[in-house]
Amino acid sequence: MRRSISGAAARRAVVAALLVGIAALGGTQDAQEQLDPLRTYARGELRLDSLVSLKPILIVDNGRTMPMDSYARNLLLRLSGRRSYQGMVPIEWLARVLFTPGEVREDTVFLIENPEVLVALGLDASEGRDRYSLAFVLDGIEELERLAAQAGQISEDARTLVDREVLRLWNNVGVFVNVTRTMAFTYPDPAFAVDQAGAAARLGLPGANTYSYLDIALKQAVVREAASAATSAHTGSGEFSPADQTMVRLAQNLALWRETWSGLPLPVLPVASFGEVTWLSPWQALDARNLSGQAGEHVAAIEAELLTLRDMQIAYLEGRQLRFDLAARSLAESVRTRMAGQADLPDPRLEVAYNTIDPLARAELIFLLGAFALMAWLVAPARDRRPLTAESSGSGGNGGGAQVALPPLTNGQHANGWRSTLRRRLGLEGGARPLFARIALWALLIGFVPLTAGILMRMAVSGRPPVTNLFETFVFVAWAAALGGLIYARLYRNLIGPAVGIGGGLLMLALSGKFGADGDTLPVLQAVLDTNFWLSTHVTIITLGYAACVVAGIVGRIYMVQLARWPERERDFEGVYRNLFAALAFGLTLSFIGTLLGGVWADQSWGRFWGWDPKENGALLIVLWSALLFHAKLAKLIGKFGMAAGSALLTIVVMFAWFGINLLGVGLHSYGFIDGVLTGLVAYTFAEVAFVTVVGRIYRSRRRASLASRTSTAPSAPPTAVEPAAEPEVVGAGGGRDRGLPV
Amino acid sequence: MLAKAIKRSRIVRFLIDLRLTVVCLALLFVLTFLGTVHQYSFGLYSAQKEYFESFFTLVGGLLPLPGAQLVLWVLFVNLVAATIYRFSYKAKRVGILIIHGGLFALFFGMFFTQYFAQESFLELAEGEGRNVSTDYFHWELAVWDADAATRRVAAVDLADLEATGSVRIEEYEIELALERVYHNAEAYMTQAEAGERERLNSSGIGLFQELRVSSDPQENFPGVLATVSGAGARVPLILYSRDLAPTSFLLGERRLSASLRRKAYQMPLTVTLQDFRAEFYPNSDVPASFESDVLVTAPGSDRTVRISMNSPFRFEGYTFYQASYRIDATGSEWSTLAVVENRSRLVPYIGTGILGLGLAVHFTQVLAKRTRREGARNAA
Repeated sequence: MRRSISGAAARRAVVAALLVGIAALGGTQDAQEQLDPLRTYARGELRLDSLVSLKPILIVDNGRTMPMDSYARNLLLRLSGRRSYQGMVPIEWLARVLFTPGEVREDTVFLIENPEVLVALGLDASEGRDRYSLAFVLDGIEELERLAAQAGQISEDARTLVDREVLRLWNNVGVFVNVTRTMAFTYPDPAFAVDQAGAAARLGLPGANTYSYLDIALKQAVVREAASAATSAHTGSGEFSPADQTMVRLAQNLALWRETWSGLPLPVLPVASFGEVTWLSPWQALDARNLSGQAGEHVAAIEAELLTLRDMQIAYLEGRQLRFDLAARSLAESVRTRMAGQADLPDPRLEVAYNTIDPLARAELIFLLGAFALMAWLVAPARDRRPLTAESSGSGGNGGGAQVALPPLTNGQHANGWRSTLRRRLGLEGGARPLFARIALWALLIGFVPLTAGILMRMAVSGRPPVTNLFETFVFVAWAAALGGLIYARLYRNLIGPAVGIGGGLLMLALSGKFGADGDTLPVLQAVLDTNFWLSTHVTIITLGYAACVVAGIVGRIYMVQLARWPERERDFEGVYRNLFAALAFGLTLSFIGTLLGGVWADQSWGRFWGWDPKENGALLIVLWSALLFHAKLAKLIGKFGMAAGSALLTIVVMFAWFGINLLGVGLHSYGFIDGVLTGLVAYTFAEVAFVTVVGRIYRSRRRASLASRTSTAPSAPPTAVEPAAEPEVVGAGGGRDRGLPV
Repeated sequence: MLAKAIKRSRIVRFLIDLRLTVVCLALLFVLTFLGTVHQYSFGLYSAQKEYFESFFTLVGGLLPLPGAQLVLWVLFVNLVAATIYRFSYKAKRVGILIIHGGLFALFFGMFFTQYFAQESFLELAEGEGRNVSTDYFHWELAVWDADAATRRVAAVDLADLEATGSVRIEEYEIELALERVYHNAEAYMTQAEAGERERLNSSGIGLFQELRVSSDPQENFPGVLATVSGAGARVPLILYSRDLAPTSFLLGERRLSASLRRKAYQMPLTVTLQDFRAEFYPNSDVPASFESDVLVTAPGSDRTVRISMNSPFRFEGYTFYQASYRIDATGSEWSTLAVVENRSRLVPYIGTGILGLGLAVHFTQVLAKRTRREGARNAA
């Protein structure tokens, strides 16, 4: 161990100097570059191949115990809004920041979305980039500090976009600089130079040399004793021996560093006292006061863990894979052994696996392929393309129905073996569907697997029901839409199933990415939400209600376009209408039950069933709007087209209730504020209203024309576009005859 | 005969009309949306007063609309009328009927809670016990005998007193007259202006500065100028809602105390905070849980109860919830318990149950019907 101290001493002394440079936020960069052999060294051939052993080391961030891998991901996402940095996965990037801080000054990791901030900081905004390096930001650091202090004075609601961006940047720069300094306790520093062989011998150090804070802090009891003895001797004799001088200087520097750097990050060393677990950073662990309650063998173990941290630093610099892995494993092992019986540490492997596999991203990618297939189907040659009405309603007898009827499926044709049975059961039977439709359906089916696995893994990691925060509502609705699409595709052989599943799934996963961009997607729960019973009932049901309403919206839009395009063939689309009706009924039911269960939870938690809280109101709006549609239909104020248009508009209400409310930033339920989404929401509302208006007008004029032409050419034929007198009942999952359903 | 005549009458036809339901649902939708947006700028209390608990409202001071209360009452009457005169009571409609029966329960629960439930709170330091809870919004002027062994408080609601101007308190044979109310005020030590009699205050307050009244009533701290007269003497007082101690004065032979305080409600039990604990997630200030151990003393009962988030304590129509906590400058822990007195609190639960049952029945019926229909088609 000691050998390597002197071996790496020169290199690391420079890093320490550089860190002090960053600390002072000054110093000329050229001088530092000349002094920095590290840069050339780390750029050479000797590099670690793998940081897998670093990933599972446990760390606490925002109250949650997580593997280092997740910490790296969240930190990179928080700083840069990205999931990788120049091809480096987050853990590689974090290791680089931790272990070779000299190299990262020019790394463009700071996301600055608002160019006004750059102007305010007096920085060059002309380049048009949106990610900047530490070196770049440091030029405006004084102004940034001033503006951040100003913005901090303003109450949270009153802050402008620029205020928030300034604060975010200031905090991010602080966090980043702190992380770059973290390992400085292992670097030899002139403050801990021992130039006296005698003093070195007294401290049990191998000789006069420049040592690190770690080296000296591990001997802090000896140093303090020697220093106080020297001080009292001084009062007597009036004279310091050189060894005494060294001791007094070391003691002073120890105290200075201890007080200055106790806020540096990387809490990886848990200690338990009186049943409460606190996670210490290496710097805090080197402060003996934080270990005063610990048993002797634990203190020894913690000191050993600190030394393994230094081992990791050295191994990283020297590019020695085996040594790095051994040190990392020994650190994780020691922490686990030490805490056994004192605290329940989570097993990091599952979360690391979740991070590595990233099942949600995989599902999104597969759905994207499916979406391409769907689009390809739209532009495919006519013979391979059948309208969405492929499933025709009962009679299908009129001329229009016959054109779009599918070739009937004979059951005996593919009855060889389980594979065929499975394919038939899943509705993937060849020949019955166009090629691209089959590809889309396969994509939906394949994508559903990682999506489900992702949700299950998240549940296993957090020990919670599937939905506990806004991010998870999107993932869950994506899952519900995909499942609904699959079930539908199993029942009916048209493209509504894949369209709902892939369209809904893709949209929701994309939105989840947007809402997960501010950091950890598995955060700890506020105390009031900490009840698995209500999270799994109320939250899950209300989220399924959102999903059903979104599906109703998609089907409603399809139905509107169909009616507007072929107003004379309303009967052919009867099945689509019934599906719309069913989805809407499900939406109303689930939203209503979910809302009432929310009331019961509210009554259990804070004593009132209903309090006009914004999120409650949002759920109520969904219920009212869907109830309104059903009653208006019953009162014959609107027809089937009106139901479809109402369902399309319902999605606006759902969006408002789901995350529009959070944008208002009031109420007990507001768990996240997302800038920029508001603009999207307003744009969406306008687009949706425009869509409904335009399609509605087209429908009206075409229907009139169609009726007129019918009456003029064949006055005796009954008009096909009139509504049937009988009201359709609320049905379970679709209706109409289904000729593709295998028996 | 008569029933048919009633059913044909214009008013009943109006009341059972489905279009009335549609209009009410639409209005309720609009009001809920407006009220939610209103909260963003003016707070929940204002939104409740303007939109949700009112019979009429002026949106933005311009557009007159019926308030949610009126709409809900009309909707309720509409439901009652439809139940009597319109619904078809057939076996196949039983699911729909049960659903609307659940709505009845929800309406009852809502109106009952609206008019009879009482919400208040209890803030206790460790070791402190109380048998009165305090209102969130309303203030009262309280007077009691400063020397009596047991305190018998005579209290007048500030809003009532403001309406009447003065009130006679028989118990202490005094007249309490209100001269001025500051609905939200800052207090200063400045002495009274020349020519004015000095007003009594325990904290030495001499002057109020009127502040803008906040839309969040919990941010308003009122002050009053009042005169107590009786036994041939008159004592002018200046009382502030944030006075540290009640103001005591001599009136004839008797020494009385007065204070302007949050309206207090007598509870049938005494709650004493024994211990408060807050647990935090490691290395963070995010509370993982907080809970209070309280001693509950009521006639014939005396026991320790633990109240925590999501786990309230119930006692004879009263429910106590862990609402929040604070640690004051001296380091003592204060626990805030929300106190709700609502004898109808189970009604919405019942409504939820009925509604769920109705939906289940309805869906089963629809499914069964479909299966039958498809079976018939397959057979054919």
